[in-house]
Amino acid sequence: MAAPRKPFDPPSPEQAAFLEAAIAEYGKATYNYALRLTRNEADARDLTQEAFIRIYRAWRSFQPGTSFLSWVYRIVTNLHRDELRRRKGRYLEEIPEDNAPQRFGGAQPLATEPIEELVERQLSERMSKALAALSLEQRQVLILADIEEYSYQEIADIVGCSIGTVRSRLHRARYQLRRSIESEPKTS
Amino acid sequence: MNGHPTQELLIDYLHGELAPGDDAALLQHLNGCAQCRTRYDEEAALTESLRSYALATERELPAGVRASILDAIEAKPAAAAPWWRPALALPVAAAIALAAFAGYSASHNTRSTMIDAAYYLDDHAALTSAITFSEGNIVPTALYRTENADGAQ
Repeated sequence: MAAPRKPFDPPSPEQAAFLEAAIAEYGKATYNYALRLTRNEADARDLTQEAFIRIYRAWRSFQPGTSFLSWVYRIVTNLHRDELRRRKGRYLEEIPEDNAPQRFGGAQPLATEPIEELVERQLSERMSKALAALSLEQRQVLILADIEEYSYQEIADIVGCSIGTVRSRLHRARYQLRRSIESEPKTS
Repeated sequence: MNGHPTQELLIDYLHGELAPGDDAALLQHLNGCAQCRTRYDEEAALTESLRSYALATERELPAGVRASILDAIEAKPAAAAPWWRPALALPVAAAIALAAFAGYSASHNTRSTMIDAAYYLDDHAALTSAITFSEGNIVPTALYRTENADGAQ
């Protein structure tokens, strides 16, 4: 993502307002989508930044009345795919331990952690590992279908494949996810 | 609906991707088949787990990202580049070297031409002169100059 870029023309007040509004409204969702794809904060930050720069450059091409977030996700998906090709499939792996979600309290000692949170954390870890075991294509479709609640047609548009491919990827992803979760030893 | 639905059909039903007629038929089947209802509930639970996981791991947009985006698109007029910056210094150095070489070559070639001309003139005079040079003979100018210079001493 560090490719040299031509300097931009000064943003017009209209463009600047559009971008500011887009970041405020969709920045978090975009970052979380990027984070689930890359599973890495640094890459997710880069991907989010690059996506919004693309949005800024192509803001006039957005069709009012269509889903803005779908458009953003399509941009993120394409950027991620391009970057993977450029790096030949190697992204930084794993979310750093020192940046755990705040809900679980980061490095909170297990002894003082309520049992519900402990169970939830363990379930979350199993889910995280199971998701990591999926192929990127399966993970994309699963995230978009089950977390983002997009239709197969919308996912096909975002990912750039047929509905049939979305369907088969989703079925396989769910089958593999369940197997991974079930095979993961349950620690107490 | 004939027989039990496949797992794929249950997943499509869960995601609301069946045609209205198929959707209604499957719903009717689920209401009457405990086994398929359990299979469906397991699929629904998986989706629920995914959403819970997403919610639990959701993060705020890091503060620096917004600033980075705005910085990246902010058109800053290019500062006057110092002359010694490599991007400028190298072409400048190359231009100076080229000019120096061209100047040297030009002057070197001019001098060389003059020497060559004098040499050929002298050579021609020596070869074409049938008479031994003496004070009574006409001396070619080029040689005369030389002799004159010698004679001056």
